[in-house]
Amino acid sequence: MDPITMGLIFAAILIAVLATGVWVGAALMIVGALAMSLFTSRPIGPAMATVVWSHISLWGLASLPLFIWMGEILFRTRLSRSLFEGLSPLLRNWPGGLLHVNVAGCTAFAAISGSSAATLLTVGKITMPELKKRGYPDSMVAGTLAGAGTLGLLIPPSITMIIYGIMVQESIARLFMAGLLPGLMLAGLFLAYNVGWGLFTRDGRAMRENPSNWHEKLYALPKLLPVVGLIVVVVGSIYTGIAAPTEAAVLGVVGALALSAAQGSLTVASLRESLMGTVRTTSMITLLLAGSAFLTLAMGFTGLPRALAEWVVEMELSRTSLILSLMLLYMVLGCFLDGISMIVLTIAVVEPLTRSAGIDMVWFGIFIVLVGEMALITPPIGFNLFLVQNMTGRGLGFVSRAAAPLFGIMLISVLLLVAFPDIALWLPHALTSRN
Amino acid sequence: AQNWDMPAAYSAGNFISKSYVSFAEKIADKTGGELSITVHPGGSLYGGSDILRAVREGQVPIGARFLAPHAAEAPVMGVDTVPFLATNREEARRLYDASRPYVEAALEERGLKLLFAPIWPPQGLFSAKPVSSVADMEGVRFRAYDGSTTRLAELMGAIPTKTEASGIAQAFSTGQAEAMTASGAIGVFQKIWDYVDHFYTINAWMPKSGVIVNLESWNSLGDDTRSVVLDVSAETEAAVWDEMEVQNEGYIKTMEENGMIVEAPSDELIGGLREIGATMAEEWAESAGEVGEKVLAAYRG
Amino acid sequence: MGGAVWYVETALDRLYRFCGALAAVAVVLIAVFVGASVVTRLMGVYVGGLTEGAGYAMAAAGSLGCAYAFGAGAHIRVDLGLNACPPGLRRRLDQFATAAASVAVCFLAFYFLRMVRISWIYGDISDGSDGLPLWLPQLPAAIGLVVFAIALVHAALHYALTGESRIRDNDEALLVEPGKE
Ligand code: NA
Ligand code: NA
Repeated sequence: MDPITMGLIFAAILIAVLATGVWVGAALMIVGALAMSLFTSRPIGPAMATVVWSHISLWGLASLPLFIWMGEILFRTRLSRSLFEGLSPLLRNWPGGLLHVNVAGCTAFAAISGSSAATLLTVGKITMPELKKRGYPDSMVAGTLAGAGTLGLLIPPSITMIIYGIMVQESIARLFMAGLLPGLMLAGLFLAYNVGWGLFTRDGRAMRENPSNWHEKLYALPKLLPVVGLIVVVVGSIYTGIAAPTEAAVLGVVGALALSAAQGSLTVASLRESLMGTVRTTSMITLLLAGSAFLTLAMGFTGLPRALAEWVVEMELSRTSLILSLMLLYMVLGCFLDGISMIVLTIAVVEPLTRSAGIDMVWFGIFIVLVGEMALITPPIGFNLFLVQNMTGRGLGFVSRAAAPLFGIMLISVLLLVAFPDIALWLPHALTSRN
Repeated sequence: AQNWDMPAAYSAGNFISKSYVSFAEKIADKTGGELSITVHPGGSLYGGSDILRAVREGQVPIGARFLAPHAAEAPVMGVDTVPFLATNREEARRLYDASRPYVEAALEERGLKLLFAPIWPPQGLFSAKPVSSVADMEGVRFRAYDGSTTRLAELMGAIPTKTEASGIAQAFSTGQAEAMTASGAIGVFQKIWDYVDHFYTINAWMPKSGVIVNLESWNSLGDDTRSVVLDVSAETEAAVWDEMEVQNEGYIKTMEENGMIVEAPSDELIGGLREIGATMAEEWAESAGEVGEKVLAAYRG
Repeated sequence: MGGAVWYVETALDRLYRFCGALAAVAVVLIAVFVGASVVTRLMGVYVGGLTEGAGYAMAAAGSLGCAYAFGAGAHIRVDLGLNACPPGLRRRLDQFATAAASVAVCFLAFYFLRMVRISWIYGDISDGSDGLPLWLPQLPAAIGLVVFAIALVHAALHYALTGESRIRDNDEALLVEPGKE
């Protein structure tokens, strides 16, 4: 069977199973099991148990529950309110107003966390109730959070870059350097989107408030200190080497507990609630991970993603059309797989080709991470969409529509990266130029 | 005709992963398609920790995996990572010959057959500062990632510093780690010259991977196919052992070209390290019991 | 009859909450392992197994909490199809989805237990620096998945017999749909 037909069959099965409302993690297991029984003769159950165990017990994931817990603790303090009280005088008369906090918060948090899920969940837990209270429209709150959450993977540290670096034998440190400017560029474009909304929509214009005077600003600034201090401490622990990026989360938890205690919000009840909230979110993610790990294995056995990549490879395209075709391929695969699975399943086929086309593998890493980030916000399988869905209680349709403009912005930034490769390559070159 | 999936943990561009691909191609060719093998490198099917168990249970018929991490179950699988026991290709070959029957027996107990064992380049010493004797390692933060590297650090008087493979660059650039043992390959792929100046070719050990096949799957093959697989295995093994030396020279050259100071260890340094190695070999033999004694006796001839 | 069912359902709900509490303990354990990893490095001491311990605690937390999270409506589903259906069909579809998820998770839980048994029989040992027999950290995760399978079967049966779903709407929803507030 040719890969296109096979791909269409899988897509149809997956959409049908999801549409009945089967919980996503279980749906992915069902589709993976169908794929293995249709196209391979390998035993399904033992394979499922093996990959589920190894993917839910990864050390690299251990920071995720800790960041979630940090967010849950802060959520139960007056800290998020005082953060917004501090920011309001600075931002309220700007176009886009306090929505910028979603983007700026995710950008700052991305410097602590290597995962988009941790970034989105921690920042969202703090910003979302405040933005809602202040009357920002749900679609903007949910959309900017889903989009800016993806920065967790582009701004170093980044789990995806670590895995890519190991797969293609490139320096992880240089990949991290290369991700910084594209990450900041993307964050800038997201901010511009907020500004555009504030200037050109009726809702946006209505949200702009009276400017504050300098007295009010000065009075507001100290309120920012706790949260800013916490982020500085955690970032500092990574850049001084005290904590590995995966470990920095524990400092976040300790810091959040300390701030909470200092404010008098730390009680047995609030601690218990924060833990139970962490358990709910962690279990939700675990089920998704289990399903997606098994579907990824099943796809590896069927050879479908690899066959699709080979199909692109065999077209013998020129360099630019190769890059654009790979972008399209990954955008389509990204509707059904997460970014890391996409890379892992196709890189063995794609790497030799990109190398022989003379494409810089560090640049290609940033390209593929960025395209992989887009997969986080495309339905039907988009991890960030699910997380926002869980957090907001709104359906997948609403969240996907809210995130669609941000998908457009990410597409623009990929094209910018293709047109101006130095956005990624300038910094690693400048920082390692002694050689 | 059978189609076998073969998971391997290391990346596709690696010379050992490439040897698996050529192994698969030759088998498909020489069996006239009776047996075709699809290599899944880079952990794209199963990650390293899962491969041995996946082959044992028949989730996949064949796979490739480092042997040493399974030393906790069968110490003989870890003999090739005992520091300074075998420090060049000839010694590594003798150690392999001496240990192979016992490794095969340990694998057979688990329903597995060893086809061949590709060898990795020797482990050198990366250090931020020059090292001319073991005394220079006193108080140095030394990367540890398992029991053996921790013990090595302790015996050198260094401070074992836990660093995962993905955190090497961060650890060295922040000074949390100042020295480690690793092969030149790690140095080249991590562009380690960005942080570390010295590489000493102490050739501490040369680990091996094992290409293992599930015994039931193996027995399901015809006699002709099996003899082709064995021939191609021997051929690939010989080629990849040769290739290891070529690659190693290449890594060293690349490190030099990028400004690293690559040196052979001073007599004082290597002498001190060999003493440490002797202690660790004794400790290993103790942990491996009777088999350990036999392997060491056969190796030392 | 009704009393006995009530008794069983209450006992089951207690089981789900109890496992949820165990999951919370596992979250604290993750913090302990990771914290110990940072502190021991600062002290210049190497303690093996902390890395693996954090991973094992992560697996225990994620699995043991599954049944509790399910009851709280935290697991994700795609509701576009459900919302598009008229109420009668919607209930049928919802029942089908619960039954299908039960089958999938029972399958996973069965093979997960089988894997623990095989680890036990072969005496598999972790290849990390912890050196633990693998069945030990696998067991809490297996128990979590079994309890989750029980919760799903329970939900499917309850739904089939009473026509009512026992899954609450998401407890944590921060932006609630218009009209539901
Ligand atoms: Na990040
Ligand atoms: Na997607």
